Amino acid sequence: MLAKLNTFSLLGIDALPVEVEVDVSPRASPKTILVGLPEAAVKESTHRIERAIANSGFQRPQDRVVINLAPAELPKQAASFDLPICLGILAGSGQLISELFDRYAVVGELSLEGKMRSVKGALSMAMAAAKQEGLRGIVMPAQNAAEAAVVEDIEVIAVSSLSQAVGFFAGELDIEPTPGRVAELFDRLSKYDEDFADFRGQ
Amino acid sequence: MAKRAMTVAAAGNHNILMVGPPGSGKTMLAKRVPTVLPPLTSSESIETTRIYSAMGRLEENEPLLAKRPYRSPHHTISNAGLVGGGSVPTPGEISLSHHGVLFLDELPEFNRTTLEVLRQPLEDGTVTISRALNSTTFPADFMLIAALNPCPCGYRNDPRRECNCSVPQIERYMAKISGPLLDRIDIHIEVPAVPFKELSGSELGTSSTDMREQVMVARKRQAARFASSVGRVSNPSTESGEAASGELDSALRTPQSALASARYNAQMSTRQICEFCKLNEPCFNMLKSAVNEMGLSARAHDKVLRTARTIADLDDSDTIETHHISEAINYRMLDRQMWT
Repeated sequence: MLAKLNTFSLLGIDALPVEVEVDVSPRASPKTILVGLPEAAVKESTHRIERAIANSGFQRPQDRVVINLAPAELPKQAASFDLPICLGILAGSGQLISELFDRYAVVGELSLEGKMRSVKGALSMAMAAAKQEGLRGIVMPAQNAAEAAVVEDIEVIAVSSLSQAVGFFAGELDIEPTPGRVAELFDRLSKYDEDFADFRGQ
Repeated sequence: MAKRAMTVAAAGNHNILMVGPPGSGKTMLAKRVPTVLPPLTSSESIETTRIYSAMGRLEENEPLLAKRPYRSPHHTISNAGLVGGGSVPTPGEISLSHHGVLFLDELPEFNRTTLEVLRQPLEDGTVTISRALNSTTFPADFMLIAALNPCPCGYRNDPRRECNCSVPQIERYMAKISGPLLDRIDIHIEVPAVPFKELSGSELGTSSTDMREQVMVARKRQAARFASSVGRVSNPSTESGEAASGELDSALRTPQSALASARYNAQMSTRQICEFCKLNEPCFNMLKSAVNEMGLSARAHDKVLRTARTIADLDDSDTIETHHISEAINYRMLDRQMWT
C-alpha cells in the first residue's frame, strides 16, 4: 500500500517542500530501500525508525519497503525525515489509517525509544507550510513548537513521541494547536542585562 | 565622549571603530550598543530567529529572539565561520548578528582575507554564498563595531605606560586593515584610559533608556525622510535610478538587497547625500577647510556628511549646523593620524 506525506527539507535557512512516499509491498523479498538523494543522517534514519516502531509497540513490516523523497534531485540532509517516513511505513503497512496526511505536514527526528528530538529550522518550516496550499497545520516535536507557533496562519501541533503522532493522525488523540505567544515572549525576553549607566568616565 | 559617539552610531546605524589601550572599556561599550538601538520589531525578530532556528541555536526557554543579537567572534575565526559557507551553505557570524551588532575585537589580528569578505555584506546587507551546485543568500544586515589597540603593545599615547613599539611595527599593525574596509566605517573614535578620579566616582552615567530615547528621535526623522524619498522614486526606475546616480556600488546591488532604498543615514547613496545633506555657507567653509587644511580624504568627505546628518537628526534639527559638522569632523580625526 502507498502512503504520501508532506514534509520539509532545510536548505540554508529556507525550507523547501518535500513529499515522502512510502510503498509497502507484501509478498516481495523483505528489504528497505531509501531513494531521493539521502545524505548520511537520512540514510541512517531507517535504523532509528525500525527500533522506534518496535519500541513504541507497533509491528515492523517484514515486506519490501520503498521510500522515496521527492523532489529526487534535492539533497536531503537532516534527521527531520524520521517521523514522516515512520508514519508512512505505519500507514503503508495498514497499522495507521488517516485522512489527515494531506492537511498536516510532519517533521521530527526520532530516538530509538520512539521519543521526539528537536529539529533545525522549525520556524522556516512553519513559514513554508503556511505558504503551501492545502496545508492546515504542521506536526512537529514539542521542543520546537514554541518557536514555530510564531507563524500565524498555520496550526502547530506539538507531539513528544511517535505514539502521540500516530494517535493524532488516527484521530484518536486531539491535540490543541500550540498558541503563538509573541507579545508575551517579547515582554519576557526583551530586557537587556547590560546598561550604559554602568559606565564611568567615557 | 565615547558614549556620545555610540549614540550617534546607533542613531544612524553607522559602523564604528574604536581605538584605545587595553582595559579602556571598548568591549563593554560595544556590548551595550544593542541596548540603545531601537527595540526589535516583530518582523525583524522573526528574520533573525529564523537564522538561529535553522542553525539549531535557539534555547528551549527562549524560542524567539526579542533582543538584538550581539556577536563577538574570536579573531581566529575562518572565512566560512564569519560569512557562512560549507558545501551545504550554513550561515556565519554575520548572519547571526542580523539586525544586531557584530563586534570585532583586535581588528588587526583577524586574518586579512577574512576581513575582506566582509565588504560585500557591509554594502548589501546580505551575503551570497555560491557553490557549484547552488547559491544561497543569507540576510546579514548588521552594525559593525570594531576595536583595536593603537599599536601592537597597546599603550601608544597612553600617559600611564611606556610604549616601546617601533614605527615600522606600528605601521605594519595598522596596514593590516585595508582602505576599502575602513571606507565602510563612518565613525572613528579614540577610547582613552579612564582616570582613577572618574572610576571612583559614585554617580551613574547616562542610562541606556535615555540614550535610546535620543536614538529614537533621530530614527523617526530618518524614517520620515527616506519614506518620502522612496515615495518619489518608487516608479519602475527605482533600481535603475539608484544606479544612475553614478555610484558604482549601488549599481552592483542586487534588486532584493535590503539597501535598495536607504533606511538609515549610514546607507545614503552619494545622490541622497547631495539631496539631504545640504550645507549652508559657514558649514560649507568649515568642511572645505577641514578637507584642505587638515588633509581629510575624499573618502572622509561623504562620511562626514552622513555623520553630520545623523548628529543633526539627534538634535531634531532640519538643517546641518556648524557644530554638527565639527563633531562629525572630529569622528574622522583618527583617519588622519593613523592612516595617512
